[in-house]
Amino acid sequence: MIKDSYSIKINNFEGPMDLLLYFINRDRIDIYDIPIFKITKDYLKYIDIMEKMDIDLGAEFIYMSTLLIQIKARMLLPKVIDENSEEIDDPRVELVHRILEYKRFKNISNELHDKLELHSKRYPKGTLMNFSPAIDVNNVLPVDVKIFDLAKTFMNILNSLPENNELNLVIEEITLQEQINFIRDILSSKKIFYLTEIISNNSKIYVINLFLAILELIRIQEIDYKQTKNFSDIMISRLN
Amino acid sequence: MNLKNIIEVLIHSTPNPVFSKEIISVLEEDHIINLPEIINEINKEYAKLDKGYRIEKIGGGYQLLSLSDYHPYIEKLQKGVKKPRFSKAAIETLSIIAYKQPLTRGEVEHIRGVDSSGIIKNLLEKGLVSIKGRDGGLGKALLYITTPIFLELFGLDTLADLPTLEELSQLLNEERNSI
Repeated sequence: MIKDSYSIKINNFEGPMDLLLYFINRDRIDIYDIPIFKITKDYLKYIDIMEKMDIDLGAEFIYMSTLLIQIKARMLLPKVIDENSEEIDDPRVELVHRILEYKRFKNISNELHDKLELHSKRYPKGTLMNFSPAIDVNNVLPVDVKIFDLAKTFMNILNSLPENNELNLVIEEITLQEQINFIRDILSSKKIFYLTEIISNNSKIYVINLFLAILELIRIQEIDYKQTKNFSDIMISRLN
Repeated sequence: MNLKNIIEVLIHSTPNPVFSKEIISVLEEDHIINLPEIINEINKEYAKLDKGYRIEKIGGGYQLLSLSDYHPYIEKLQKGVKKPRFSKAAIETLSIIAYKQPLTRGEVEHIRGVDSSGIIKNLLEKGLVSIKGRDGGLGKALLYITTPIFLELFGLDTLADLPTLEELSQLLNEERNSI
């Protein structure tokens, strides 16, 4: 690993442009007059350190090093001054344009970030919790329940069923369709019910089919489900 | 019935911004309504009564929003709810698309100097950018634009609310002179 000979803050640079801009800001370099020798040296040193630390830099970092070396080489060549042209061909021009453009968008994104921060403190009406007035009889604060939580709760219920050690060869007659009809029947007479109300001491096949029926009815958006917290009872209601 | 009340009720009826043309189509008034002025009056009343919310123009529509002063209380009430978070790279990419739209992924990458396909995909999934069509050039690359959701999330009415490039280059020049 690296000994204390280098002290460079390893920032999380977004890319080679970000790294170049970091050097420019750190050394207060005038973008229009970049000391290409120094910045190439710093850049290559950084790449070297990252490689020694086995940090995989993207190809874009390597591309930028070749670009820097190329510019450096062109700076070393004697300048050919064209009599007809007043412009002096500076090999750094294109890089300067790119850094400026990047810097500009870096500023914009800071500005945008501030706007986001500011605006996230302002809330539209009633978007935080999905109170459903029709179901909100017990003033239940629903939490964000995923199908996965539902399945975990269901596993708890399954585990709590009495273990039957006797070999039972009676074929279960309860089908998924029957359980779907069963739930529909309950919901035609009452608005809501709790899962534990209808499970009681039935067999595993019965309960599994019941659970599958609930999942199916959720999928086709016939019913809604709510849970106050993980592993607690599940409340089922009609969804119109 | 009081026109101002109707407009207020309409805006109160939904968490989403309500567009002027939606309000006007509901009102069925014969004469022209100066909606911005009515909204302004409503907001003045809220201010006078020291209410905790105001109607703002967001994404081209009117939306009722709580004042930021009350943010800590709402945050406490909703402690489990996650707000969308954005990485530095995502905001950088968004700002490039916002200013230069429509543009291709290649153009984004030229400015950022790094591969941006993952970020753009993510922004597409979140609905903050969308595809506008294809570039006429070689390879017919997809063109990206920002969506109304982007405006809503960042609290902007239109893209014109973003700082202009002139304002920004002025900032840059000031910095340059200070070196």
